[in-house]
Amino acid sequence: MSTFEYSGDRFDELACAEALGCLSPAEKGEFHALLILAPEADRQQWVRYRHAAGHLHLVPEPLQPPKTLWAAIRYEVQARLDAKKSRQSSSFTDVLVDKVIHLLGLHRPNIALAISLVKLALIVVLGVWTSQLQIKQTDAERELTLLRSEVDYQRELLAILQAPRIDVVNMAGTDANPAGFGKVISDPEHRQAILQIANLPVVDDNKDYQLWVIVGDRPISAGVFAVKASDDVFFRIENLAETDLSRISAFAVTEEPKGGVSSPTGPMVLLGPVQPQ
Amino acid sequence: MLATFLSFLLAKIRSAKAAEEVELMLRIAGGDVRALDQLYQRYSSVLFGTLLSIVKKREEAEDLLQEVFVLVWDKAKGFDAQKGNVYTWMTTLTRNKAIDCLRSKGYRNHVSDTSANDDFSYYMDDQAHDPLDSTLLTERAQLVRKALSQLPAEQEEVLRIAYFKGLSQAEIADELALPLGTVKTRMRQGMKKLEASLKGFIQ
Repeated sequence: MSTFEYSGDRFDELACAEALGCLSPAEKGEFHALLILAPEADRQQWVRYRHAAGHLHLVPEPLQPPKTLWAAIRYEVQARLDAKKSRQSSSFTDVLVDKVIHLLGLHRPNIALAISLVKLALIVVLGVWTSQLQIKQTDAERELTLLRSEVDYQRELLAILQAPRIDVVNMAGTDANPAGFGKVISDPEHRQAILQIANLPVVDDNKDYQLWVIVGDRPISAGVFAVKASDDVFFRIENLAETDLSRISAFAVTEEPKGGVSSPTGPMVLLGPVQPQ
Repeated sequence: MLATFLSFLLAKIRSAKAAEEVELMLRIAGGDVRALDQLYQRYSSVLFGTLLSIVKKREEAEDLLQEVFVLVWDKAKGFDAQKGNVYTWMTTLTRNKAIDCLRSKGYRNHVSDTSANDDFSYYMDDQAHDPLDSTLLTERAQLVRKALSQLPAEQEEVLRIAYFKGLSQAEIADELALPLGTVKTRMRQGMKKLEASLKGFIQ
């Protein structure tokens, strides 16, 4: 008997095993060859074997899977749906871009290069613009700070002028600065004063003007100030050593080294004797 | 006459259910997750029980059940109602997945993999293997268990090992320390009796 000469017994034996899914690869080949040769009755018997074996899955008791399992299946299936939609939309976009490029008679790699260069140029321009904006912002903030300081300073001067009692001593220029004049406006209660000056020259960076309160013959420093611009007029003097005008003989301003000195050394530029009261 | 009428009625019901499942598959192919959910609600218990009886580990059975339904989703477009019905395909797919899982754990002399059985074209079966509602499932399960239990113990044992362990005849012979010829004989005799028992009850 040749290998594939039909045998009903052999076919039946293989059919039973095939229905249970336990044929070896070689046996599967033999079965398929015999299946072609099998009479209809034998084929139908094979179908009935498969039918019977197909019911064996019912032998175990049914068991409810955990509720979370459907959620996991749904999640995975939804991910596949989303991926499919994403592929469809991106492929649609690609087709559209290709059509446009084709219509314009352009070449894709050159387009990509051109787009990259444009992007690079945009990045550079935006970067420069951003840094310039930052510089302007810093300058604006600095100016704002200075203005606020100036406003605060003016408020403080005003507060002195608004004191319930103020004393005013006029000062005149000296031989060293004949055109100069000024006033000392003092608030004895708070030991503060405003020095108002006019026509005092701008001092060098290593110089300051120093205000002196002359008590008897003794000069006592009342603070230093610098005239840096022609519109520097008012200066606030704090912690006057002596505020009782009956004890003060004069106010004087001298030019001194930067930071002031303990006793006058430089030329006197303003002098204001206190009139006896 | 009444029996004839009832048979006719049952046949109509089965036919309607088969059409309903074809409709579900078409909807699944169209991306309708709710259709897959309906199929899941209908058959997940039976399939899960089958999986657990084969792989013995709950976690693996859960993973495999997930794979089965995802595969149903992926393959729905290729479903051809002319070649088989949905339930038959799913039960066979389920069993094959379980057997492949066992085999991947290193059975010796394992038979060829069952992946070819995922292909619809392998199925020429089953106008009679109709879709089942839960009542029918329960009744049929009882019939199958009874038919199996009525086999001689040695034949039942061979059929159970073949189906639920996916062993080849040679492997079954090894496991039971029997000659190969004896295994073949018991398998053939058991299948004949099982088929004869079920033929009387299941159309």
